[in-house]
Formats: sequence, C-alpha cells, structure tokens
Amino acid sequence: MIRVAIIGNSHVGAYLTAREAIEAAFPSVELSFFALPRHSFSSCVYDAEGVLSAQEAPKTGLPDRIDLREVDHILMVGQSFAREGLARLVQDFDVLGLTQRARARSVSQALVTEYLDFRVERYCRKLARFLREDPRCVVAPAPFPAANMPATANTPSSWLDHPDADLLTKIWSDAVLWHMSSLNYGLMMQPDCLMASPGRSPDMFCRAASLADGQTPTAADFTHMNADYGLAHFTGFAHHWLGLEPGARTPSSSKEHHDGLGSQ
Amino acid sequence: MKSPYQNLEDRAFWRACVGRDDDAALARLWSPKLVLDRATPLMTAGSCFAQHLHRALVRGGWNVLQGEDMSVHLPNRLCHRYGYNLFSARYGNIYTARQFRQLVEHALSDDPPPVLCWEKDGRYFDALRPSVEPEGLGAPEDVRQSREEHLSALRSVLAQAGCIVLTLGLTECWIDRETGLALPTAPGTIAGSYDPDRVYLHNFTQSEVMADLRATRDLLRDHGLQAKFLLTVSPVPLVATATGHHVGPATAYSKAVLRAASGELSLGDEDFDYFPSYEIITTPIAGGPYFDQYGRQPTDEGVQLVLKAFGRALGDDASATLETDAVSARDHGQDEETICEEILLEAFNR
Repeated sequence: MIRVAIIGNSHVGAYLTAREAIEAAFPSVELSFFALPRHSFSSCVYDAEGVLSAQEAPKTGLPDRIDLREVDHILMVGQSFAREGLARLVQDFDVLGLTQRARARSVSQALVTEYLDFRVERYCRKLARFLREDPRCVVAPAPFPAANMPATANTPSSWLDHPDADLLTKIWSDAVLWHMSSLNYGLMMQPDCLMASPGRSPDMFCRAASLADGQTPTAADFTHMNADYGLAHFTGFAHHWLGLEPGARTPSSSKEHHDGLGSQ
Repeated sequence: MKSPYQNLEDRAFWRACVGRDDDAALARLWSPKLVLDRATPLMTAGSCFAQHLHRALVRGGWNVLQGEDMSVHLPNRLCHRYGYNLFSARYGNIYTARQFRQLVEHALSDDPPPVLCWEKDGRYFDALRPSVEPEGLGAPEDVRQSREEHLSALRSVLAQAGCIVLTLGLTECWIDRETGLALPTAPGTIAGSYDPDRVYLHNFTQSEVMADLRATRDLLRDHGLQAKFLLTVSPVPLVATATGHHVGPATAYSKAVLRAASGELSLGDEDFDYFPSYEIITTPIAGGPYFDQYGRQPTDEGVQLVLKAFGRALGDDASATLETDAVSARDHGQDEETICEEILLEAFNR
C-alpha cells in the first residue's frame, strides 16, 4: 500500500468527501487526513518523532494529531501563498498600467511584484519551517474560486474580479514557482483540467454546485471545492507524484459531507 | 562696573553648558517661538536627515501627518524603498528651498502639474522625485497619473498642517533650462542623461533661500493655509559638489547659507522658527559630534538626542516613549536605511 496523508486547512474537506472514490480509483492507496486548527502553522507541532499534533483543541470531530512516521507521501493542500495580501492591495489601489477602477490611489506593477515576492517568500519560509522541508511533502495551492462566484469584496480572492486578473495571477504564480523551487517540497500547481480560466475553477467543482436543493450557497461555497474536485485533484497528484493512474473509477458522490471541516 | 553678560543664564556661556546632554541642558538648547504640542499636526519634509526626524517624531508619538500612508499594506522596507512613509507625503527628498516652494506651488495650483519624465531602459521616472519608483513606470502617462495623485494627497496634508518641519539640505541644485524646474538630483544619476544644454547648476545664495521660503509661506497664506515653519538644517555633509571646489568648503558654504537664512528668518519673521538639530549633531554642545565612523551619517544616539531636545524644550516629558523607541529602532534596524539619492553619486565615483 502507498500511504498518503492529506493535510492542510478547510480545503482538506474536498478530499475527505472524495475518500471513497479516491480509494476505489486507487486501490493501492491508503489515505489519512489532518486539518490545522485555524489554518495556522503555529497551531501545530511537528515533533522529532514525526507526529504532527494540534496545540489547541480542534473543532469537534477533527483529529488532534496525525502520525506521519509511516506515511509515504504528504499532500499539503489549500495553501494560499499570500493571495489575501494581493487581494487587499488590489482592492484598495489601482495598478498603474492596468485597467483603472476609479480608486483614489495607484501603485506600480513593480511594487505589486515586489510585494508579492516578499509575501510569498515569507509564506514559503513558514512552510519550510512547518514540516522541516520533509521531502515526502508536496504542497498544493488552494483552488481558485469558481468562475461563477458572485463578485464580492473582502474575500481573499477579490483581486480576481480585476479586468487584468490574468496578469495579476501570473505575477503571483511566478512568485510561488520561484520561491518554492528553493525548497525540498514538491509543488503541485493547479492542473489545467481544474482551471476554467486563469485564476478561476470550473463551476462544476465548487461546493455551491453540489449543495442539496434549497440550500443557499455562501461565498465559501464558491471558494471551496466538492468531492469531484477532490478526486480530480488527487488523480493529478497520483499521476505525477505516485506514477499511478486511476483503475476502477467509481463516480464520486456530489453530495457534500462536511465531515466536521466545513469552511473554517 | 556692569557688563551686559552679567546675570545671563548658564546657557549663554560655552563653558557652563557645552557637552551636556542631561534633560535640563537639552531643554535649554532651543527656545521655541512657535506654540507646539503633541497634538499639533506636523508635516515633515526635506533632505536625508528629515527622514531621521520623521521617524523619530513618529516613534515619539508626535502627530505627524501621513498623506500617502502604506504602512498597513507594506512592510517598512518596501514602504521606504518606494518612497512611502519617509515623509508626510511621497515627495522623496527635498534638498533645496526652491524645490519645496515649487512643490507647494504645484500642489496648490489649479493648473495641471508639470510633468518632467526621465527615461532609462524603457522605463519612465518622475524627474521631480525619481527615487520613489526605483524600477520606473511603464509609460509617461503613468508618471503623470502618479504625480497627480501625489499632489492631491499633498494638498490634504498642507491643509491639515499646523507646522511644517522643513530640513534644508543643499544650496547646489540642477535646474531644467526649458521648464525652470529645480531638480532633486542631476539627470544621469538615477535616470535620464546629463546634457549641459538642458540643465545647469545653480548654487543658491542666502537671499534666494530666504525669498523661496517666504514665497512658500505667502502662497500658503494666499490659499488660507496657516502652517508655520520649523526650519532645521541637515547636518549631513554634501556627498559631492559640482561647483569645482573641494567638497569640504562647498559643504561649509551650503550649510552656512542655510543656517544663516534660517536664522535670519527666525529672528525677523513670526512664521519661522529654527531648531538646532544641526548644532546638536555637528558640534560638542550636547556631547557630540554624533557622526558614524565615516563622518557623514548621524548616529542613532544623536538623532534620539535631537528628538529629546525637541520634546524637552516644549516641556514634553517623553522619556518612557523614548525608551520604547530605542527598542523599536533596534528591532526594525534592517528596515531603517535612510534613502538618499546622493549615495548614488558615490556609486558613480567608484
């Protein structure tokens, strides 16, 4: 068996809900899961023995530790790589040389680039400390919001509403690629099949697409993905990092199961 | 027999007061004409040393105006690299009285501001503040937009300011022949290229400096703005002179002119006061001089004494704040490099 631990934040939920489907498609894979309280690296300790433990009480129903000693691979999902910083900057300022949105003040593209470089570099340093650059670990950025997400300010992805979101996305991606290249972790950028356009996920993969009839989606339901996404993303991971292709694929359930994770 | 020196305070006598940096001595270094307290909205501007003053005043809890604040968004290092939060607005270093006059004229004018662009490797720089975008901008139009936004923010700062703390740094200035604009640095230093047919060097005299400062004050009053001026002179020597003279005497000329102009204005005009930061750093009156090992940059100890003397003279007991500031200064050491175009001149000379 190949033992894979999927750890991270609320985005772990997509893989938890796809667990049955993943294990059916990859019978040689055994999964375990762990979510960091409050999304915070500082909420956990990765001890010398290889056990990752929450330092504060997790939400009811969540495991408070995971033993990574016997794990072959660690997939750390849902990492923001400082996207929220870009969101705040673009929300408050126009960017010179890009489409203007009637903000009172502007910043230069060079500043945006340097700012992201600073923030992503700092994020990567935290990542490196967190699992001590354990070479078994592959890091995946958080999925982009669904293409049909209503425009809402004050979300970590509001910069994607910018008319030049493609360029801003590229500046961010370049910073992630550059700084992750110096770490011992693997980096799994978003597979093409899970992108509707630069910075957007296909509608069908978000939680909003899988809610039971009568449920009204919240903003988080457009930024968090469903079980179909969990299976598709894991398939990409298995192909590239495990050398596995799906065998007997079982259609995943589209019904959401929070399994206690929800959108934290 | 009577002498006019009889019964004078200790501070009138060199031997009685020189070399003392205790609170009582610091309090006597300056007799403020202007009525200032911690609530007075201060606008800071000037040369490299003004950055030290700005930081020290902010840390000391004074009400320093910040028209283009980026501290919420950016770390200090990046703020400063892009000219934010170095002064009360993002105008970069203002070395001469003419530059400051020109800046205020542009901010208060109803006409579109003149834009002078320098080009380097396909990037465009605002010649009136070339250091604020270290990588330049993509098009002259971006320079124009950025300048308009800056002047709009500056208008707001001027409208609020109760006192402008202006640190005069130089008398030597490059002037653009076509526009008559005073430049903060020679073309070819940060961007652009030096062409003697387009720029010339002017070394301001005392009367010219005074005329520029008075004209600035008059302009503010014409617009109903009430800010008074607290003048200081930067103790930082010239990094280079283009006059053909030795840099030492050229520095002495520059500082003497600025000091004399400040002194004359302070003596004869109620809108101007002079604060002796120059003397605190460069002379032994408060235990100095306070220069680093290269004899050019003021030490942190000297800058802290300047702020302490400022507060003490105003009857402000800020010792607790100052202790905290000292810790803060250490913690942020890596972010606290003073931004100075003049340093680039040295690079060109290596």
